[in-house]
Amino acid sequence: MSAYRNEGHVKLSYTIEREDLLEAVRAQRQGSVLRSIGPPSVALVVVLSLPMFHRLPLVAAALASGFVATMMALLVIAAIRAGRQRLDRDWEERRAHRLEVTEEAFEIHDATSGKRIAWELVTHWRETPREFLLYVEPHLFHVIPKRLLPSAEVQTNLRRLFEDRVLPGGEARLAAAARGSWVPFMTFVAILLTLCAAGAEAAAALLFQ
Amino acid sequence: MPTPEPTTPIEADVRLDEADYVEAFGAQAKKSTVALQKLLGIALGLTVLVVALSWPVTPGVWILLVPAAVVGLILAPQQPRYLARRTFRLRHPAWHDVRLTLDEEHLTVRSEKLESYRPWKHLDGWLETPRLFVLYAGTSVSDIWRKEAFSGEDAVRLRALLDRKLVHERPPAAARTRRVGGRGRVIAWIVVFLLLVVAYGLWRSAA
Repeated sequence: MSAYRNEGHVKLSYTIEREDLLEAVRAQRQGSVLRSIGPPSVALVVVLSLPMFHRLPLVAAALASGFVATMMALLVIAAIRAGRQRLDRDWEERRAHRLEVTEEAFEIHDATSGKRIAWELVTHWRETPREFLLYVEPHLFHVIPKRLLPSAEVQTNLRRLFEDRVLPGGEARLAAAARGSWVPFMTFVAILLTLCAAGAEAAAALLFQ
Repeated sequence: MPTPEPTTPIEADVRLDEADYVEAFGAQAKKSTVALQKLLGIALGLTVLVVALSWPVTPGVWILLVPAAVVGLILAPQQPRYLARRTFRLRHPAWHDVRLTLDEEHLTVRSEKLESYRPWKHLDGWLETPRLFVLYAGTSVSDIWRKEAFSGEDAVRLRALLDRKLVHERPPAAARTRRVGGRGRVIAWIVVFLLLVVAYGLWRSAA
């Protein structure tokens, strides 16, 4: 415990709304699906479209490229929807929380599950304008909405505890380790899209030539 | 022989290393990997056959089918290994050496630095490899336990408990299985249709 504060102990119960969770998901840095797979997706569509414009008349190539871009968009949307569906799973049981934060450990329970872990296992924490996010595994975080904290003093108390107890540098370490995590998904998408592009090109060639 | 009821919780000390993760992820992904490899093999074989029969053929996107299929055939079996190593390294070592307690309601892990409990319904299914019990949620590996951590009697009780609580081998939940199975079939038919269109297009465009 540092000298600038007294011993910290925060204990509270709260219920989060789906919007709290969605805001937390949107606030992710390395976890954003669009951010990680957006640029390679655009590059893939361009690479697959260029040979079409070389081989086919302009209108046919444009239609075939449009088909490929649509398929790409559908795959990305499917990936994002899969993430949302995971969030919705057992949602009702995971809304109500009991939280206890002490100098030794972070403890949180919902209706059916819970954990108590030493601070060194908390990988990192983040603060958004409306929430505290506490990461206990690389892609698993707990949301503490500030609006549900009883007072500004509790908010300050929590922030100081996190600053003091969570080891610094965790987010950077995880970001470095997670770099390239989109590669397996994009490899699969690239193969599937190449197949679609070849099909679209062949269909367009048959229709327009 | 009647299966003994787990009147007392099953307890075990579980230690894991990277090789366990690689084995578990490989087993969990095996079916999808084999299916993808078959699909790519068919795409590659058909492309080569049609191009050979129709040669010379105007170059186009179809050329990329060959490297894409070859790369896919090579990478498909590597992907679970890559994911396993990454997952192992990202988790704190404390999660790899725990005391496990299993009862009818919960799955609990404890160590000096952590205690965590979950209901069985947070998981979907389980499978066995020669050395491991592997539990999964959705398509993700969730828990890995070495068989050597359980005594012979506990292993029998554990299999009975897992059978009662989860789906053995693959499908997570009946509804999801139907959905995924249906989706998989649709994708497979689309791929077959596209391959036929490509083959016909190549044959027609033979210069």
